[in-house]
Amino acid sequence: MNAWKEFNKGIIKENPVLVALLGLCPVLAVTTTVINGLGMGLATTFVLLGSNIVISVMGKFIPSKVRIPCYIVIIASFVTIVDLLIQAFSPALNKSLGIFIPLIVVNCIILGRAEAFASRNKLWHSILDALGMGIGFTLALFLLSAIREILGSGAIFNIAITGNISPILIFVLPPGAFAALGFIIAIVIYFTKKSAEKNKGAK
Amino acid sequence: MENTKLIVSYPPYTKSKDSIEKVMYTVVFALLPAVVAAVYFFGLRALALIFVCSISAIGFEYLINVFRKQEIACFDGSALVTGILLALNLPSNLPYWMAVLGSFVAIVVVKQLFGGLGFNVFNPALAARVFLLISFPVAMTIWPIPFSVDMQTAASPLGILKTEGLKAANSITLWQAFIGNVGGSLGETSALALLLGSVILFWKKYITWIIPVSFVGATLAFTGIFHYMEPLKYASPAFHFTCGGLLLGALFMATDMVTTPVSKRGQLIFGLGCGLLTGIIRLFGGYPEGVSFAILIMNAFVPLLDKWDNYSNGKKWRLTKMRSVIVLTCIGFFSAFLLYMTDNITKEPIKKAIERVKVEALRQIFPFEFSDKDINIAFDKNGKEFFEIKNKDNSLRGIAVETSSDKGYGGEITILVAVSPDGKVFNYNVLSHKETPGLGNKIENEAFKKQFNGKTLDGFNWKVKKDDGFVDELTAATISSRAATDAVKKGLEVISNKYFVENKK
Repeated sequence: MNAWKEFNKGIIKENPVLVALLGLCPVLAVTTTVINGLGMGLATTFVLLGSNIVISVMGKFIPSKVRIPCYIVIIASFVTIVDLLIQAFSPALNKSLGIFIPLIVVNCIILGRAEAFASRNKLWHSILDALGMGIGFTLALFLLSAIREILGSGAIFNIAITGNISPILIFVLPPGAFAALGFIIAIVIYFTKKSAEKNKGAK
Repeated sequence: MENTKLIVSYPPYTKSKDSIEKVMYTVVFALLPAVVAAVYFFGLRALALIFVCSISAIGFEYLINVFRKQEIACFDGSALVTGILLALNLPSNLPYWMAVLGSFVAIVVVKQLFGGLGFNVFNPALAARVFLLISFPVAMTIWPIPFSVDMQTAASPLGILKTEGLKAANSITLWQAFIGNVGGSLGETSALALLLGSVILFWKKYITWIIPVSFVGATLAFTGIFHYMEPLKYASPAFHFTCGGLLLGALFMATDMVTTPVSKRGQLIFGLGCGLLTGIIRLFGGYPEGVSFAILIMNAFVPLLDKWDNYSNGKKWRLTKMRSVIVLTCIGFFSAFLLYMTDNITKEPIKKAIERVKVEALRQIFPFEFSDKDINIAFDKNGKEFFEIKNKDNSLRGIAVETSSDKGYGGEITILVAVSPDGKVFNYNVLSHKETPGLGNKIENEAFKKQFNGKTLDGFNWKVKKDDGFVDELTAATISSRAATDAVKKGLEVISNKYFVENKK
């Protein structure tokens, strides 16, 4: 039950993007197509999983004075691994995600989980936490990129769906990213409040 | 905690009873043989450069003194030493303004911003040299040949070793390198002059033998091990001893009183570290010479080494203090290992992926099929890359070249243009652009590309219709259309310059 909660919380209740508003730079920048969004989400999940595992195992040995440099070195090596793998096996994704893959190093979700969770929890819980947070991040990216691709390019997974109707270009541009993300966050807040009130009423 | 405040010492006072002036002017005297050698080999331009560096260093020191409302100390000799040392680290034909910039970095940034004489962490002259080397890599690595009247230039022996291999480097005799008759910076070429000059510093006990000997020894040992394992691949220790800045660094840079450890043990570690890093960078690094980098890296360790002495002498040093270092080092090794494994796995696929992307881009712009083997890469005299598609009989079927135009709406547009052997455009492919989605990025659409098909350089007015040319511009994206037209035309031009103009002659 407890373990399930560690996994669960990242998806809705403490969703890194929609609730904690962390790591918004890649979220806004790469979500012009669903494939980009999913690629970024999965890459970040991989790094999160790797760094959470290593930091949770090593946590006790790392002196607190040098913990941030240690975390950054660990995170940076996993990011480099992902970067090399993507370059090797998905050159197209590499081209469209570009600089944002190396920039996962400074994504505050990962350092945040390392500092707030992995360094003080058991391995098993840290793995679940990483998976939950990673899936929450990927879902948010998927949602945002799907909206942006459908509205902005009239396509999904690069397959045109709207025919001759001209797409609303602003959604593939930066302002559209802010607007769409704002709407998604608003809807999430609306529903979480509603369910909170329901719970109160039930009690 | 009181005693930790005293660690930042003022080494020129603690090391010698003589005043700063006396020490510094003795160092200037010790540098004279190297200065004379520099002028002998590189002529009056070398003297002028030494002058410019010295005067500007003293000038900047004066300005800082005024600015910080300090006692005017610009004539205490330390700025002069920094200026001369900087000049000795530069090629003799370096533009004067770069030398003045170097003095600025040395005196203002590296020395005074860290607190002035006695407080600077890094050796000012060296840090300035590295600043210039990284900023102006071309100007800083073209070395005039000694005695050449018209300033002929060449690579330094270490540069030759790095780029052309051991065979080319072995054409330099050791005696030539020892007296200094080789390409290099002003002061580093003549090992003889440097050794002569340093005698006075040893005699006056301004420098001890520990750092120079451990520095040079570690470099020789490191390069020696590799040389005797594979003599055909690695240069001999004697080559490394006489060429490059090893002696200048070990005798005059790594012995700077301010930026080196106080204790003998600290100096030994400092020297060994410098020597080892120099060897590693020379043999395996990206730069041919590693002395400056090695000394600067070890400069950064000096506060730590001094602190260590302070603790260990007082028996306060405990293993816990080392734990941070050990853990961080272990994590570094762990990471390096992980990356090494990944790199091994992905090296080949990445190479293939890059190839494939290129070939795919080529496939899209030629109207005919071809196999990977038919692609030949050629270069023109400027080193520009051309992709030639050959027939079975080795005759030309088409040529493609990458060009760009910076006239785009969002900046540069890079395209790959394919041209037939009789000078007609086949098609092009946009490799990168920053044009507006929905407007300018339509330069990627076939409908726009099509109108260049079959056009030649002379038989077509390479302008958009708005500018009285032949190209139908995209609606609301005239600028992007102009840029694309410009890029295609440029591609056609470089191809015809290489293939057609030469053939006509």
